[in-house]
Amino acid sequence: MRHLWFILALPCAGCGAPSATPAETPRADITLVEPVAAPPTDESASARREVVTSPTGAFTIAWRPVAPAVPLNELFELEVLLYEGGGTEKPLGGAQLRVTAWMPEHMHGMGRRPQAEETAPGRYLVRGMLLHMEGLWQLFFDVTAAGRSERIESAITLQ
Amino acid sequence: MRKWRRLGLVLLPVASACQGGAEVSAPAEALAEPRTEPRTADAAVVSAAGDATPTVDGFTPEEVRALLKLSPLPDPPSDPTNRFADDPRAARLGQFIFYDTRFSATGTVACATCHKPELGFADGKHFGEVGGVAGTALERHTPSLYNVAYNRWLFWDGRSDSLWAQALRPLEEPREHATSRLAIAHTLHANPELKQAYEATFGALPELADTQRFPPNGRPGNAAWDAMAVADQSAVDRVFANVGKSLAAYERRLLTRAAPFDQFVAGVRSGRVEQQASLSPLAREGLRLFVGAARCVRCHSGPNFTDREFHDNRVPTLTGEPRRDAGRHNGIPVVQADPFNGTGKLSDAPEGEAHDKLSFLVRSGESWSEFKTPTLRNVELSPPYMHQGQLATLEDVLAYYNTLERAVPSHSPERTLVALESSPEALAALREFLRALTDARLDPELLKQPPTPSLP
Ligand SMILES: [Cu+2]
Repeated sequence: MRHLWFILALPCAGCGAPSATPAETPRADITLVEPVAAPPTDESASARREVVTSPTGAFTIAWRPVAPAVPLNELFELEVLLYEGGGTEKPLGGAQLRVTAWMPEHMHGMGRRPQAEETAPGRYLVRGMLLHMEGLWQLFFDVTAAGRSERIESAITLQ
Repeated sequence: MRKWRRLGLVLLPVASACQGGAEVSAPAEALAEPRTEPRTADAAVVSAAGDATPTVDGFTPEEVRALLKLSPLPDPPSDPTNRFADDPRAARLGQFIFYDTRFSATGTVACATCHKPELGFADGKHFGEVGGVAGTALERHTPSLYNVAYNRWLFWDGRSDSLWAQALRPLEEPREHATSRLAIAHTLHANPELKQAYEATFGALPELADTQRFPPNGRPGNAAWDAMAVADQSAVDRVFANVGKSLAAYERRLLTRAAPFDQFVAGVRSGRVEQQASLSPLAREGLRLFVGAARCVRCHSGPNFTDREFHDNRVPTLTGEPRRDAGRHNGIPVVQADPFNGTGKLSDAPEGEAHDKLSFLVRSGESWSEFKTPTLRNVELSPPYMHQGQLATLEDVLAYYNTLERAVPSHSPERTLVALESSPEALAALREFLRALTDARLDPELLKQPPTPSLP
């Protein structure tokens, strides 16, 4: 049963190389409402946040590695800002967040189950990530809040 | 065409859900300006990071970028869980113990009994077997110790998370040294040279002369051990851990990183063609395949030629019987429960990295029969290959990977492994490249027991 989810989540599994035309371009210039009590960060040394909305528009995340970049084959942490709805105005605290990663070309995951901890309302720190191979990794953010569960998908290519 | 398609992954702001509905985003590093890639190596190109990729005759820029990731091999990573890891006195004591048969029940077994310097720090057998102790072989092949300092996990199944924790297991394993932590502490205590060397680095030994408190032999599960005061058990555990830390300090010095391939890469970086001649034309062709069409570098990645993780390469068992060795699947609970792991009382850095390394591991069905990717540096020195030594020679290994005809079914959906489907000439080239990873020029003083356990 454990394998079913990725089959369902992988519309591209059979279509060879990933599409070069994403449905929407990443919203790099979006204004994020920072959750309160945010730890001071040196923005200049930080990776840009990727903003993705769930398929039904119920949740939006803005994720980035805590380090300046996602490292290849080293443990790292993700910072995930979670919002209600399709925008980044309403931080969503008290949600459950689970992050998994999958290499569609090689059909394997991380062998690790990272854990998310809410460090401020709507701000989650995800520990225990490790992407051990070069190539495309899908990142799945499973959000559960107010009785609703949705999967948000993002991706990263490591080289 | 395949490699050009894969190159596209790097260049395009791409994600995977082509019709998935979810908004797609790509990480900052994948959003570099798309650029035109010359298909021949006749011009230097600028990589996404902005640095020029050197040109190498016969290699595409993509192949050059891939080979540059394989050399040089930097110094080994530090081991914060062992504060003696780079202590020369600890390394000297560890080297002395490594070759000392007194640390065994029969007085005939040392680490070097199976990790023979002249056999690439392995033993040339299918299964580890010391003989004369319990008479039974181990269930896995003795791995080489070259470059063990770079490993994230130790043993084929990764059931130890540090070199010092690894070194402790064979000492108490009945089919190996078959000794005990109490006997080891007494050996150190009873021998003035060893006692002096130990105490100079690690501090005073416990009151081992008192054999009421410290019986001559015992480990957890033995009546003699279990009857000891907890504080005395802890004191002996500390001695035992320190022996492991000294063995690790020695083993960290068994490095191989100046092979002909490294000379070649230095020549690529410097642009000095005469230095590139350290690889024969055949080995260069093998390198091109290694990083390209043969996809070896998928798992044998980075400058130690391993991803330091676990895969099922589906090699049939030595006897042809169904596989019973669960590999990483069973290694995970063992390493997590190991009292000598990086989060334990005797770790010198139980928080942070050591904790994160262990606590997020998942024991899933996919890890069944996965084994650790070994380094390929000095690989020709320690046949046979695979966790049961199933494949006698590197030619056999390449023949196996070439067709995967004999591959057995896996419990995992992983599809990293694909048949090379190469010509005999291509396999010969890969073989020649693997030979160019050999650098056995260790300091001869590291290959034998030193005259004393202390530095002069
Ligand atoms: Cu992979």
